[in-house]
Amino acid sequence: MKKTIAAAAALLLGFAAGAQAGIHIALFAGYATTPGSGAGDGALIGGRVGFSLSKTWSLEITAGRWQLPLPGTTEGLSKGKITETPVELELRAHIPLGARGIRGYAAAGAGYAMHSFALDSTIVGGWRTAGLEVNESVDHGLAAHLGLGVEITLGPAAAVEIGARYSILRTKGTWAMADQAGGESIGGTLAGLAFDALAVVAGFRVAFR
Amino acid sequence: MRQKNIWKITVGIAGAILAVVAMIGPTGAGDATSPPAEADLTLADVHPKAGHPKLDSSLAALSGLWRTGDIGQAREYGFKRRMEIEGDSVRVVTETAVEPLASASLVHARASILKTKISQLGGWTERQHRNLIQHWVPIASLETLASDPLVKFVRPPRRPFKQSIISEGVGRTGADAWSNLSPYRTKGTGVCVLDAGFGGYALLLGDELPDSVKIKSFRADGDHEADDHGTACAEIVHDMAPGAEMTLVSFDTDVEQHAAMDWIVRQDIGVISYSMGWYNGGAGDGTGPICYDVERAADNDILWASAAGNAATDHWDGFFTDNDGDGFHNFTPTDEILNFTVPAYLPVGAFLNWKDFGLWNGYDYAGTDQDYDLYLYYWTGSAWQYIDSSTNHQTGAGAWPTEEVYGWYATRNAVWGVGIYRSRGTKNVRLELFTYNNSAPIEYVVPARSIIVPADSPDAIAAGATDWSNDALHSYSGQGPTHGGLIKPDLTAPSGVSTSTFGSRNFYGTSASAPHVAGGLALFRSMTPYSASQVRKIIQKRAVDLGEPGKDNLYGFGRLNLKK
Repeated sequence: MKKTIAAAAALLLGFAAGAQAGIHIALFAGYATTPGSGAGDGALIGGRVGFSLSKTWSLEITAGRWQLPLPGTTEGLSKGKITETPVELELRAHIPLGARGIRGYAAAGAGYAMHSFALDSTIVGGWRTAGLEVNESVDHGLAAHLGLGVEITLGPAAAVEIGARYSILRTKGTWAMADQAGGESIGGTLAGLAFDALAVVAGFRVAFR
Repeated sequence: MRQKNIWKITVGIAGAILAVVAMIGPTGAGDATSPPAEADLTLADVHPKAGHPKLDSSLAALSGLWRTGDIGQAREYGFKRRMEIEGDSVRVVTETAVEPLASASLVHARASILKTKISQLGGWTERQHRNLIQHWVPIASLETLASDPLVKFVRPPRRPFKQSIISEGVGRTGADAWSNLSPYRTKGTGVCVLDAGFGGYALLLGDELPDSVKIKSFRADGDHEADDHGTACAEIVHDMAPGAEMTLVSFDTDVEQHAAMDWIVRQDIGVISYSMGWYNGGAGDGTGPICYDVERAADNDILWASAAGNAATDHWDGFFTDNDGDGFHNFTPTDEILNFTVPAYLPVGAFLNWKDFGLWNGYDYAGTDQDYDLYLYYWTGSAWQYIDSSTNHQTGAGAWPTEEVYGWYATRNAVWGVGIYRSRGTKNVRLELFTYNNSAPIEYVVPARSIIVPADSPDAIAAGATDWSNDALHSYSGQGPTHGGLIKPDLTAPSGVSTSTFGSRNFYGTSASAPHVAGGLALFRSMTPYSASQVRKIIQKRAVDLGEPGKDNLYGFGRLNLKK
């Protein structure tokens, strides 16, 4: 553990040594889909605050948010909407592509995702009519992502970027049913919930030096 | 549930005929757009009746055409009349001639003879339901068949027109609140109706019953349709829990029931609907072989909804008293005969037991050496006439402390009486008497402790009967406590509801209530992940409390309630 921390510190110091000091912020939006998980598609928005470590490297704190419809499965979550809010630390490498003012980038990040699930109101209402309260929730959990894209410099401090981002979002959840009359309840866990999302994003970045 | 409205159907059919006539249009004099205001029919308009009087006129016409040798014309006629003709045979229903109130065994015997005759005529039987035989018969033999003295009538099979009727109990109990729900995290265990028979069930599939059901008969005669009582119960279960998979299991004797349970516990069944009851089937304290079947169900995570019995007006119990020392029990200081009235032709039943069964060991009772006998009398109008008696020898081993007389009947409403004689008695034991088929409460009726076996089992959810329209307790509904001291019934549920099986005769009794409870249990078992024990708790807590606050011996926890 100590070795890992020391190595990370050395890496950061190395970046800092060659840093072109500066902070930038970026806002991005896109469209997310969920290959494999069965969830639907939805819009994505997010922002990023970055610190340039060198011409090549930057360290970013990125946050996004998207909400996707879930059709529901018998083993996993029921029909409803899942909202994802990952906050991650990202390391980004910038690669000149030859053309002036255009750079490619590759990013990898990890962090924590806040998941929230809203059970379909017709399900909730239906069971309430029968005197039963149904509830499902998902836990927050670790998140990671990979990204690829290009940046187009618009001026000394501004750039636009277009890319793709694959987010790995795994968690677990719980379900519960309770009788409103006597409180008799039953519940269980929902293990292995996966909401991995592939998103296409476009953003605008402004740098401060 | 709405009654079938025959008038509406008749008017509807008449309207349809008129519409068809109108479409055909005028054929003669008069206004071209409407029929003449007056029409005069004469004797010349009358078509002479043809064919055998016990043959449906359409079949008589078919038979007549066939006999002329014009087979083509006969087939065309049959086609127009939507008859089913294969080769030289036509599908018909032969109604066996039976007297009103004839016994089921007599009807069965006559129908069996008729089936043999049909076979001798070159026909073959598809299905028999009581006195009705659906079969194919050569068209040339229709007249011969109709001439048989055992035949009441020969007709084409009737076809139903869908007019589904839903038990009123669905709305009363709130089961309709579940109608739009999908199963939630459940394995979806099914419901089993365990009953004497399921006559006519096939005709109700996809309508009053699920599209398909699993059927299994444990009757020695293999006749799954010997009785239609189970069909009516199954209808109610299906009305209550339309999504539950259904298994219909028939039996006739105690041994067959035990065999049925051997099979049931191996199936994916979560609820049993049981609208049967046993007089003298155990000590009434939750023990005995019948209750053991309920216990076996519980051990296999199966909930058992049991009719509490209709014996509250047919029940007496008390301790032996002999004021004059003649050995006969005194129901009062001056009366040694308990009397009751039974309608004409209905078999009389009297069942005596006394609470000295001895220890139940899981297989049998230890036995008793207290010996009582049961006597049956008939009131002639001027005196009691001895009819029969049951005088088993209770010697400490062997015979249970039970006596019964069953099967006698009178050709008119009659007053019957029972007496209880003590052959040997050294202990003060509680005597219990049930009667059967009495039309009014018996003399000296004691409603308490009238819960019938196996509703006395602690594992059974005993269902009493309340009127579907106002929750009033039906007077006959079995009452607790059990002879083991348990408060029973556990719940009440609607009775007096409509079923397709019984038609205009509403389905009364705890036999109707038990499938309502079973249906409610089946909703939970088939739609939710709750365990059997949890479902039982939920159902009890949700009940609409009736009678004394809390659980009582008339209503139990109260009337079944499935909604918020």
